[in-house]
Amino acid sequence: MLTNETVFEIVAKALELDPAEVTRGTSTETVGNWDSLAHLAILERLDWETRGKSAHVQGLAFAFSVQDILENLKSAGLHVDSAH
Amino acid sequence: MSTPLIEAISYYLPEKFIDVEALQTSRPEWNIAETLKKTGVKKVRRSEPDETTVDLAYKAAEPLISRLTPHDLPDTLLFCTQTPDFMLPHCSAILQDRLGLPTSTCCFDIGLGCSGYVYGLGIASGLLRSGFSRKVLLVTAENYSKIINEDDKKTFLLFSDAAAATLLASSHEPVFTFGTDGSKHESIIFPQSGVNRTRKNTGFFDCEISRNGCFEMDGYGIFLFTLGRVSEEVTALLEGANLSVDDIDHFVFHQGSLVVLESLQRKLKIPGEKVVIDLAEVGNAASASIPVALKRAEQRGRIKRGDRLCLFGFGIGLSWAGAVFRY
Repeated sequence: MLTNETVFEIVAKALELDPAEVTRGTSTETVGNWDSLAHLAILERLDWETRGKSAHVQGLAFAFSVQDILENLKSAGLHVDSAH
Repeated sequence: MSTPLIEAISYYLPEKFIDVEALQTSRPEWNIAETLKKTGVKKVRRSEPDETTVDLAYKAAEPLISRLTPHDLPDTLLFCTQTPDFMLPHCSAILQDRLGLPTSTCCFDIGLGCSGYVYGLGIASGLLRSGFSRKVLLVTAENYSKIINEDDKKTFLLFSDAAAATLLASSHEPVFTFGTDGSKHESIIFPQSGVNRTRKNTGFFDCEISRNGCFEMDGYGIFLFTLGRVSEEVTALLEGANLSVDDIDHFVFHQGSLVVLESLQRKLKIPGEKVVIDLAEVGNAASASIPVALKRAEQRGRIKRGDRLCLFGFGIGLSWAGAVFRY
């Protein structure tokens, strides 16, 4: 089960950002280097963290914002909101 | 030791190619550097405008067939392609005539893409083990340049034209796995290519047959499929054969793209030297990619006779097929 913080860290690492810079509003529209290669890196890291479960969440293929990623993970039962 | 399933492989790559890096000048709107990191493809092979899929297949198979005695000729010809010369007749009939194979030859086509080679091996293995066939020629040939939209960089910079011919004999060793998830059949599709004209193009470019149609691929969806289902099925294949990654000398996966192969390697924890990657000069040749990569690895001295191989094809359908055997 992933928390917001874990997802933010995954996105930050793929986009070469400080995790503190990542918010639910972070998207391909707001970050220039969220390109297709970075998106594949996000998908692969999510798969790793969920031990293969997220690879079966088809909506992640076109989840081009942190908000979309969180919603897709939540729908698949792979995300819990963090305490804060 | 059992006799090897694969007796010989020959292949044909068109000499003509597109230099992907050089396209940066003529296609500045395409981020070629980013694309190269994903695909690993520096050259995409292109057949001549009038060169058909059977032409490619003939050029792959003729050198192999010409050195056989009449007694050793295949009695079965399987032709796998998704870019046939015609919807009808079948390519294998045309190739049987071109190669001068006896009219007693059992010929049929298999309409599969990137999993087609291993499906073909499985079908051939069944025919051979049952005694129906004594020797099988499996031809995989693709002519994707004829259906690719030149404005779609996703497919234009990835797919190559190529053909391979594999001569097969009976062997009791191979372990196979096959599968299909038809719910994702639209992930790779060429709408308007058959009798169903209801499916419209959903891509970002116009669907115009006069501009090579509108072959479409959902790259992110395929990537997820590879990370998820394909990696699980490779693991299951090895477990079913009572083998581990350590027992396999070489993994020859469908040469989908560099990121796909590298992510599979990482996920399955396969040492890099065991995974054959041959994309730079060849590109993604769909059903021809595994035999071409296998033969070229043998020609470079990397794969040797007697090595234990795991072949795994995956793609259109979405489908997958894997095999483990000694080469």
